Amino acid sequence: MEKVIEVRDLRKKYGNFEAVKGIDIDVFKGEVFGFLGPNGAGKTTTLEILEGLRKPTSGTIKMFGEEIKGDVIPEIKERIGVVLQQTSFLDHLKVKEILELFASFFKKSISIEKALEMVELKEKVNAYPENLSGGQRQRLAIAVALINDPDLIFMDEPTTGLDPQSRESIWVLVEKLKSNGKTIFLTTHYMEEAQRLCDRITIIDHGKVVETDSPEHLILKYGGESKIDFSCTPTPPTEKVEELERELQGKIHKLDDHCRIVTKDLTQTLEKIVLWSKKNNVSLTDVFFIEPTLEDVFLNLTGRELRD
Amino acid sequence: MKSGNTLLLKSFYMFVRDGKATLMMFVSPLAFMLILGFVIAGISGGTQNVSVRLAFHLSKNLQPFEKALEQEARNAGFSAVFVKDEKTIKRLVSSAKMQMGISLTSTSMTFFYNQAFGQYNNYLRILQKFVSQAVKKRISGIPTYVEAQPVKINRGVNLTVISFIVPGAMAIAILTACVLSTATAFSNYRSNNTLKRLKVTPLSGNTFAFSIAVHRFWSSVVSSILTILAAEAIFSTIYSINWLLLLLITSTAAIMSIGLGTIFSVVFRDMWTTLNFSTILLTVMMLFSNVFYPFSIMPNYMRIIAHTMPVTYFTQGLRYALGISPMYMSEFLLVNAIFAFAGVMLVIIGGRIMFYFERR
Amino acid sequence: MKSAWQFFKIHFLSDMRNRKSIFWAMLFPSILLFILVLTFSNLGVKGSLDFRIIIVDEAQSVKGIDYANSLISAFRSLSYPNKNGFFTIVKVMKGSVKDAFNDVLYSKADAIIEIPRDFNKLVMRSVLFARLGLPFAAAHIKVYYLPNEASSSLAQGAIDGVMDEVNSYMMSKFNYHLKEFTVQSETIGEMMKAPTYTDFVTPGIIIIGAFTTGLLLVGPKLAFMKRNMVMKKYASTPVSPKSFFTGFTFSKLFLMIIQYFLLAILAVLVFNSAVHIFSPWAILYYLFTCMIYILIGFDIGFLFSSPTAVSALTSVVNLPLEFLAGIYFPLFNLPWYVNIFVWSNPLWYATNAMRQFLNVGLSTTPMWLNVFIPALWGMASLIFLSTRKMWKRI
Repeated sequence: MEKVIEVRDLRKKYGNFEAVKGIDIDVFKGEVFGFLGPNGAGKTTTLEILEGLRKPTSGTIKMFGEEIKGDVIPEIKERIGVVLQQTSFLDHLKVKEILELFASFFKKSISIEKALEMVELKEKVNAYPENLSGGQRQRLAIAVALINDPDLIFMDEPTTGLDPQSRESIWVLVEKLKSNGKTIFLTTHYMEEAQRLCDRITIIDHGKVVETDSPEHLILKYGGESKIDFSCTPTPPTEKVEELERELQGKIHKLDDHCRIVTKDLTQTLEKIVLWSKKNNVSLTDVFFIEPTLEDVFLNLTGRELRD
Repeated sequence: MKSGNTLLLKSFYMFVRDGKATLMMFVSPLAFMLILGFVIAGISGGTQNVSVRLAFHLSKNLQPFEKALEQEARNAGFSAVFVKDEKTIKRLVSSAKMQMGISLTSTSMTFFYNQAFGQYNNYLRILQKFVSQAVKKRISGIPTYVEAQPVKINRGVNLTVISFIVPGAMAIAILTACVLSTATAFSNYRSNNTLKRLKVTPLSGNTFAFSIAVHRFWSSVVSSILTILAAEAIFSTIYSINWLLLLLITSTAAIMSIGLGTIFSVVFRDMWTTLNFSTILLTVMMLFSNVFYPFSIMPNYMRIIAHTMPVTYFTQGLRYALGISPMYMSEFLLVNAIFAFAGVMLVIIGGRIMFYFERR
Repeated sequence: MKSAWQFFKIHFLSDMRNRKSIFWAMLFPSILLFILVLTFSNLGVKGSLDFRIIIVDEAQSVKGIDYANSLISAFRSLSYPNKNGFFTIVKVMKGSVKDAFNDVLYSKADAIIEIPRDFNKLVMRSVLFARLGLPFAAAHIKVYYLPNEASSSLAQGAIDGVMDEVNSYMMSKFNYHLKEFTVQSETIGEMMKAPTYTDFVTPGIIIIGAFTTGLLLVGPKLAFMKRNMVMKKYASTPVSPKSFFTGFTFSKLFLMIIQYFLLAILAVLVFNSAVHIFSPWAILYYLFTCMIYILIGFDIGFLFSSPTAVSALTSVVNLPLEFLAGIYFPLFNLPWYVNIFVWSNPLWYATNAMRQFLNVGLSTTPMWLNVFIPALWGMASLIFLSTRKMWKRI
């Protein structure tokens, strides 16, 4: 597969503080690559180095197969789109004019209508950005990033501070971009976002890469066990519960009004519980499955929670 | 090229839709000139060419000379009012209706000052010297052997004080407007991350800096012309304007001021420091230059500082273009060349550094 | 009461920790004072006037008598390095006056005095006629100047002004006895002897300092708190608006008091001003006027929503108000439509009053007006504030 970004041993120091401590990243064409970490982990620093907004202290960066030395060259800028963490637009310009302006910076560009259509802002073409809602403004920022029909799009926490509805609309947009074959480099500290959108994820903490893999593999490898919560009517006597424990070769935790079983094999365990209930004439009520998430992955990998 | 044109057009929209910027470029120079004009002209003799109002009290035996004295005062550019006693003099002077009072008898004269006029009394004391000498000479009966006869060297209109003030006030106003509006524009774009967003596109820092500078440039030239026309209308100043030279000097000075504004915004990074530094610098420029008072009444150290201020040369060039004072053409062109060159260089360097700094 | 104290404390601390506040409240007025004193204290003082003149002596001596020489020495006696000179004689030259024109045109000299060829003959005749008691015409010297150049114009005026002294000087050379005549001067409203420019400007700077603080530290701060919902947050607690406003107002007032002493001490210790900084009336009036500025600051804070709009507005109104308050220069001969602004400018009254209370000179406006007009401003501000739903809307 073609590598769009290749980073080796990237480091960034601010005085004595090393924000990025030797990171390796590979981003492949057409994938949504997630860069996941808590605040202050070095996500934005790394991203801004790639965008050309910060100078690395050491390390090599290749983009589209070309090594970046010093400033990002215009030929590469032509092929990338950037959504900054906070975008302010030039004051006193309408949506349409902002897009026209940015379109003029690039050799090739898509039409304003198309860009607005993609982000569903067509009706706001003559509005001023200050009159848009937070979500609309972020979609405009994405439209600006898409105006040059980039092959690679950098998005720095694109949904931070947005309401659930706006967040959903941005997620749909990212999925649409992905299906159009764009490569997307996304930083986030939202688990659901990473899990839903990303093909591969790099987890970064304290400026170091902790692990890189697809969300499914990460969960499988580091997510730990699933949990099944259930309750029964009538409440079975203790010896029956012990029988089930023997069957499952595990302990059943008695919580307030229900029981919890921790297991590696969800299906098999469930089958055994159903058989047991039929055999003992108890009906199962309120059955819940709790599967491991990236949050658990992060916790297991770093020993702390993502939003510490 | 495509980006240059579009940027120019869009920054035009940005400029004309920005109420604050247009206010700063068009209204503030005018307002500034008017206020300064009135205040300075009030002190030093404005449109009516009356600078000092004097209250006179004459003792009985001198009263027949009232008419002659009044005539002489008028010739010297004062307006004299005759009152019946010293008490009235004191009342008029203390309420600032008159600037000085004089009580005259055949053996003595007393001058009345108002302490509240501060340094202005220094000028009045010099006046006292002249007036008392004149009176003394007449009373003592010294014949006039020698008289000085003024001869004007160049032709041209005789100007009132306000006409001197207008070019200086205009220079300060244009300089202030250009420096502040450029500096604030750039600092603002930096602080709200607009520069950062532009940095990741293929746009160059210079193209951006020039697009912002261009609109400040033409507007300041237009604003200068409007200010001059307004001054002519309001203060009835009459200049023999050489429009070509006027356009040249306002243009190059605007370029230089924009260059300064660009560099300030780059050096001081945040809007707040930029604004404060500019304010203080402009105050210094205003006071330490030959804008409001000539070199001949400045102490030496001020003369040296005044000669390092661009506004001094801007004012000089303006006065030349307005036909008020002479200047070697070569010197005028040199000033213009330096202004234009320095301004363009500062914008180029500023634009570069501005984008360069966005990469930390 | 406890929360008012807390509000006082946090606002005062936040001002002291904020470099913007420190700049506007402390640094800016100090710098302004420094620049003004440096500029104006020597400007136009006798001894700092210096007009450069060229004397072109074309006179031919008549039988060895040369009155032109006494004329030149009369001018020399009025020139540097003599004490209290007015002129610097750039050169005394023979020949044609035209040769010196370029020096004036291009600012090498301010004026040219030409002593004409027949000068000696004319003066000699005048002296003779004067002795005989016959009427005679004076001999003329010509003063060439540039009417459109301030320096040159002033130089011409100065030469004209000293002609009587020159005549007297020449007279004394002829052993003529002058009649006794005395010249005195009296200063109205004199409180201190020979006030310097520092004394003149210090009261005004103190007022500007307070005014700037009132405008820049109150208005934008309120606008900022409004925008960031801090006020709403307060409104949702049981704390009363009164505690907030009391604490906030007193924190600014306290800052202004520090500012007063800083500026006054700077003026006295560094610039040798003789103002009476501890005058109780001055301090009382200062507190009164500070309250007015704080109220005006409140108005502005409520009128505009964005802190930047407030800052911009403030810098726009500040300069005209200062100029029209007679802080830097005394104000006279203004047209009525400008005077309206002066007469309604609270800074003008405050500056006048402070000059009197700080013992610089009597106020040019009656003291009751100095209290009344600012008080009107205060009342107007209060009325405006009362129309705002202070707590809920902010």
